[in-house]
Amino acid sequence: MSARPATTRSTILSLTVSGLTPVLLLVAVFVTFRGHNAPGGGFAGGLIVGIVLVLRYLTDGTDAVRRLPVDPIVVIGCGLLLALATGAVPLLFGASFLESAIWKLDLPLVGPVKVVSSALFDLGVFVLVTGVVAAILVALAEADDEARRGEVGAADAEGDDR
Amino acid sequence: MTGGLALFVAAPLAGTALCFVAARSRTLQRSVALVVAVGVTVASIALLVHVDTVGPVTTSMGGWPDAISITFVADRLGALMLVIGNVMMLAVLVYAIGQGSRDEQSPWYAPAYLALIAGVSGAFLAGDLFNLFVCFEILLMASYVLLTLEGSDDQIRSGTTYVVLNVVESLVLVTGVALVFATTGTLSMAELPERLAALPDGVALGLSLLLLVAFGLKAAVFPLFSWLPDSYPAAPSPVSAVFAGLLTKVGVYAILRTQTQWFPDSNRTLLLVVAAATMVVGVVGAIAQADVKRILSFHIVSQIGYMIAGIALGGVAAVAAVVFYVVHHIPVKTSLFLVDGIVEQDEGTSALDRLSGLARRSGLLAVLFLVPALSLAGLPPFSGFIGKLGVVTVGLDQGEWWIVAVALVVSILTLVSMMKIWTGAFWGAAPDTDRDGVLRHHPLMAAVTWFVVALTLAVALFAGPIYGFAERTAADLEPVAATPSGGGAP
Repeated sequence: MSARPATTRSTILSLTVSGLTPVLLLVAVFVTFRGHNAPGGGFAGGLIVGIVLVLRYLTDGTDAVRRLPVDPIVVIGCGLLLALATGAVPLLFGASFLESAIWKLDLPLVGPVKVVSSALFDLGVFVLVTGVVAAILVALAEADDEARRGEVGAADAEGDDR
Repeated sequence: MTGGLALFVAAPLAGTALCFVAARSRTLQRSVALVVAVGVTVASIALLVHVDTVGPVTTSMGGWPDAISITFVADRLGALMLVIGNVMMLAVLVYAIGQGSRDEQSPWYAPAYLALIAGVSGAFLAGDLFNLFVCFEILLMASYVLLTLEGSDDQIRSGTTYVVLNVVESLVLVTGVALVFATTGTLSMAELPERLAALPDGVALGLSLLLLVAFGLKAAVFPLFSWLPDSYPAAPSPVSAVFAGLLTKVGVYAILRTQTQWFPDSNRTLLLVVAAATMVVGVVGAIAQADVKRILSFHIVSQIGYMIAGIALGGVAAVAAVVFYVVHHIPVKTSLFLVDGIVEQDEGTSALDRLSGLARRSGLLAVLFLVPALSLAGLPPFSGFIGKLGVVTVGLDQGEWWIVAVALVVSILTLVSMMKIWTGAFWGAAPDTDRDGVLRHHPLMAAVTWFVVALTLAVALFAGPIYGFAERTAADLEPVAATPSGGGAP
């Protein structure tokens, strides 16, 4: 992994990514919830958030992912927990594992909306996938930083090889 | 009990999630893993008793109609494998906690291990082919993590081979799943035997070969085995112990289900040849190695050959022999790797030329090695003898004398290579080191190894009841196979 000097950062890329971020996040949410009956879903949505993180990594360097407010591994756990809980809750009502409840609501201004409990499952997948991409990026960032440190103290790296 | 069988997969996965959330605390992760592993083990034993006395259990998930629902089925075979799998994974979990190796300290270890439990359990309970595929994927994902967690050069190299080959295997399997669905219109394991029997011979043969390649790669049978002796020794001992004991046997389980229930009486000659080649190549490879872990890894391949031979022979007696063989083999193989783990923990190596005189330093450890080693070779008082006797008897009954001859010769060669470990590592004078006395290892490691070795002895001691159960299991699988062949014997 080659270390990227700070001087090569591009202002244009940086500004573009800043502008794209909210749009991409919106698309991610849209894709996640449209996934119930159409192509999309939590996995695709999570990957789109992952793209945002990758773009941030490209513009801001390793800091972008090393300064995340929560540990990605915890995010993965929360996502998995949410998905499983969605599967397990129906058991309490005597339904089968993963069975989905469907509510048809008539919201003011919006009109008829079909709400399904399996959307929460998708949300869990969404959170999980986001966490996985973040965890991968953190691992890459650590390797990146280590390589940079390795250039300074080569003796350290040799010790690791043994 | 509407949740029923789903919990055998959901509970370990929930444990995975909790371990992720508790990533900061190793103690918390270990507690969650232990609680879940103990829970599913106890539940699976209860399930086995229930299945044996009352009958198969089925759970459908998602509230969809039968043809497309997610189904878990526990029949005798599935429940039996579930119990052995869970007991072994619990034992190795305790062993790994005792060892506390570098990879066990990683926050990813406990979640991956629990996901492995979920995948293995799911594979044994899957009631349809697609579910089986999904559970294979779960266990493969977990195995990728466990195999490469330390991140040493050797692990990354062999891990790459392992991942690539298994991705190819998944591709073949998912193609097989799609083709089965396209030709029969169902993936339910209960409906498939009938639908597949109605297919033209050529189509059925193609499907059976496709599935055989996919599962054969997982089980490491003859031309598809080379990844195994390469990747397993690179993993830390507890991980290779659980992989060695269980993962290839998931492949054997899948072959047993598909070949006996779905494609009875096809591929007999092919399977026999593959079985013989697997036995011979495995054992010859083992003799050529000079490292305990690599010798043991080649023996996994060789032993798979016996199981495939039993599956190829077919009929109630043969399937019963295979079921017993699997029951005997899993604890034996696991315990050998656990002993190697203790040796490696103390000596820092498992290379035979750097080990010597271990028996002098720890007589008990020598016994712990010798019992499963002799059992693996198939010497009379031990469980391996009964397993091999079963396969050999069926072979003689069916007039396949040559597979019997191969099996017996391979047994002797197995003994030869086990004695190679014995003379290389355990016998002889202790090396001139300042580390005299007993081997340094955590008491939990020894306790678990004792437990698993005791289990192998129990399999020999209670061979009668276990064989009886194996015969009932085989009879369960048979009715479908019996319709075209009328009894199994040719």
